[in-house]
Amino acid sequence: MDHGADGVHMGHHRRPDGVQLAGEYYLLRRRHVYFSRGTGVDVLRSGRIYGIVRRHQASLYRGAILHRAGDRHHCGRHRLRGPYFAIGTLGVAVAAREVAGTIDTIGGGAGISMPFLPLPIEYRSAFFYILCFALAVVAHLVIRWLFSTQFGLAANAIRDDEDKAEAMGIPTLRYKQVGWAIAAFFMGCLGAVFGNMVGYIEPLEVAFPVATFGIFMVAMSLLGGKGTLWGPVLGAISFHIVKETTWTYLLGLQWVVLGLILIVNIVYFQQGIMGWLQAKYPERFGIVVDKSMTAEKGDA
Amino acid sequence: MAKAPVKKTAKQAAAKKAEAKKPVAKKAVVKKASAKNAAKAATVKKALAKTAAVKKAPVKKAAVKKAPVKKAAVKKRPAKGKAAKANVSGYGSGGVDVVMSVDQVAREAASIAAKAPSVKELEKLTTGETYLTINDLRAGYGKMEILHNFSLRVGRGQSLCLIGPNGAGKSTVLHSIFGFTNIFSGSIVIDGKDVTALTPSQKLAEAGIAYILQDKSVFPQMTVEENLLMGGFLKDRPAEAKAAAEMVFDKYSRLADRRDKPAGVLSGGERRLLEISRALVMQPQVLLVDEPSIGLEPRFIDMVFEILDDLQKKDGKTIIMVEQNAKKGLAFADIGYVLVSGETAIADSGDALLKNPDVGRLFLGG
Amino acid sequence: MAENVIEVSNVSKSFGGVKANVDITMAVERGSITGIIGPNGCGKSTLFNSIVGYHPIDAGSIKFENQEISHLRVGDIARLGMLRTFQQTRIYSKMDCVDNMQISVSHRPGSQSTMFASRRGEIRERAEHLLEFVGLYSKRNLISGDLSFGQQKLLEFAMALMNEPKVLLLDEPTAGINPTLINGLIDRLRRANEELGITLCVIEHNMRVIMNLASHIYCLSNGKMLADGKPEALQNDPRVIDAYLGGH
Repeated sequence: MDHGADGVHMGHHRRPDGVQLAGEYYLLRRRHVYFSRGTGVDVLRSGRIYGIVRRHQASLYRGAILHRAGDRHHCGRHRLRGPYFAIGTLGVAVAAREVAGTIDTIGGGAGISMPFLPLPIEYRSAFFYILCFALAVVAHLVIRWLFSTQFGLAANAIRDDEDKAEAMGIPTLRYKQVGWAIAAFFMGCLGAVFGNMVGYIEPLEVAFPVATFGIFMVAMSLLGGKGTLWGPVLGAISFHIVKETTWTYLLGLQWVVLGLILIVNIVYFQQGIMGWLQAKYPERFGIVVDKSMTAEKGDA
Repeated sequence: MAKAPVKKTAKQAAAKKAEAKKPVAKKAVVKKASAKNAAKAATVKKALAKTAAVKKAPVKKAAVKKAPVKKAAVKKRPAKGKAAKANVSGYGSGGVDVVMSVDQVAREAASIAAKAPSVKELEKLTTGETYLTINDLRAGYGKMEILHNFSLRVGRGQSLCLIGPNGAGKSTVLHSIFGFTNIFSGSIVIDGKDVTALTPSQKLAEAGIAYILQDKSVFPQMTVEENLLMGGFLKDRPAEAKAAAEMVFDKYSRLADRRDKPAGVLSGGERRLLEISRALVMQPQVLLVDEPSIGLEPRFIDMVFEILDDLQKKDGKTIIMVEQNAKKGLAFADIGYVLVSGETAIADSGDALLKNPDVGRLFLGG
Repeated sequence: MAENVIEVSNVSKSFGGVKANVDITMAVERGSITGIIGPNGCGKSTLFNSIVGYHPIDAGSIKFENQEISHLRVGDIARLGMLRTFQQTRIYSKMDCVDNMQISVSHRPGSQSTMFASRRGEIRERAEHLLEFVGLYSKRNLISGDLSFGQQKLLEFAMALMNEPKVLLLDEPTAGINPTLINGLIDRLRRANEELGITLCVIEHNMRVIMNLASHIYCLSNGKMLADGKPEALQNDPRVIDAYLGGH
């Protein structure tokens, strides 16, 4: 097969491994990485660049946190909590975008084009579809396993009352870092796939698009029910159905519809689809309700 | 307070404790504490004997201090109307021998609740006209029903205290009267008017009901005067609120002395006084008091009950309170209701409930 | 002569212009039950918060098992074996009771719990056993936020026991609890102290509770240590009566 930019490809080939090695060495040294080296996308080695950028983002933030952790005088007031943690990660993503724009190895501000897939063209979309689907399934299973362990309990405890978790001796910082690292890992993997699917990677529009990550991602989770396993899945499915139909039939109004959905969701339907189902049929989800206390028991 | 009887009862108490020191489900025999210090010294001694690392208490020190202290104590005790109940000041005294598991209390209480009082009996407890009536109320939060067919009668100018285990629904009664809960069925009638459906602000402004919250409900950054003015927020004109605040200052000089201080620097008792008097700005007829003595240090508990007593007897307010310090609450109130799992188990006059041995065992801690 | 597991020496703390603690010195003996009483605003909670590392102190030293801890933070101190309960009863309200208990297991380095350990097994059994100890076994699968206030207090206490602390600092553990249940709580506190060897330090306003529970009591007033001693001694101390108890 013919790669037009073979030389460039080779160049990329050699450096990314070094960068990746360096990155992983750094992370392993800090003992904050529990996942394996493989991205699972070894077929497309150049896609790893995108994965590296993502993982560097993770390690950048981790580095920042470790620096803070060493600073004892601030007594936790400078630790990021709750919604500030989320905003903090968003800030880091924006910073990473700018940093990525200056690294010439990956094309600087102009981006780099990806090599063609060594398969007949008619199989291209099927290939990527299966790849993304497989990745989604793997991510779902991993998260599912993760939340059946102590980690899941700790994450929920931190969500419910972080001060209490700290006071009980739970190392909240470590749990937050690991959670963030695992999320970043899957993002990195998928980013690699996505980059190759689109055909080129460029920091502003492809790698860190604001609308997708800043708005759509959040909207999908909220719609499906945050804090649940299937919530984001259901939310993503319904969101995309709505998105495709409005783009096709209501062109011109699609952003209005999207905005309305967000507003309705946040104001009236905060619990999302899964939350609503869990409240209506708690037993199906293993939630135990004290029957003697509900009004449905009839006349006393 | 002679030393000899202390020793004897100490020995008896020690023997009883040894028997009763079995798994939690055992019921210990209730012993009425005749001399305050006797019971305390006995249980304290027992606790000390058990704890390995602690030395035995030298009682000599206390005896030496007693002589000069006695005079001071007598001088400090103000003349109270309820001289007979003087031994239940503050949190009172008494032992902690009666240990029952939560489930056991619930079971026994349920069996008592089976003979629940009828509405007629509730009526009998009121003097004069019935002022506030609750009929067969079913209410709760969200979909949870906490009160099941709850009824209440209280006459004008009377005080009623709700006691019972945690989660029984005592605060829910107050919340329901004021409009903070979901009312599934039943009605609340004040002076002939049905007020069930009114919103809380309407209840305060029109129906003359004021709710005094549990603990820490002053606005700490605002001054005492501003807090009182906030109490009159629903008045038509600020001038009316100011006039009402002045009346409160006339009545309670302690607040007047601190009118410009931020409420956060007041002592616990003064804060509770502020909370109560802030409710008075709207000149309500009914006061709903949620745990007046919670979190208060012993010397202010009596003060708060004196204030409430004054409001009831002199100003003729009708008071319905929830009080976890059950002995104090029942000593104060004319009527007492014992709530268990959302229903009234026993209703009687406050004094009668204090003397009731079952009530004492199950709800008063012996 | 029992050793002191907590030693507070000349601790002072101010917030802005307010001197919350002035030169406080106290000690908690290992295996004992110590009480702290005093009027509202006298600095009891500030002292508690200083000991558990919620904020740094301005002066003085706090030693836990002869190790200086005044520069450590809440999490580190908790992992050394000193826990506190909160006045407003804090639990993880969206999880069920057994999960609340399971996550309360000790996170000390070298302890059993690892980040990815399974939820079944020995930890769960211990959790259920402790729930039975406090009388919440029948409610163990309910969401803890749905429990009543008193039940939540019991759950918080059980969670503290699950952590196997060396010292437990309790902030008004019986506030708002029915008197008969208070007896049960005191009984369990005593048993935890005697059978499990946990040292207790309790802030309380309820005299019936503290006099029957504590072997040594410290009384604070206006940020300073006013008096300390055995319960009967303190009850008859005129300074304590004046500042706190009121005439009986």
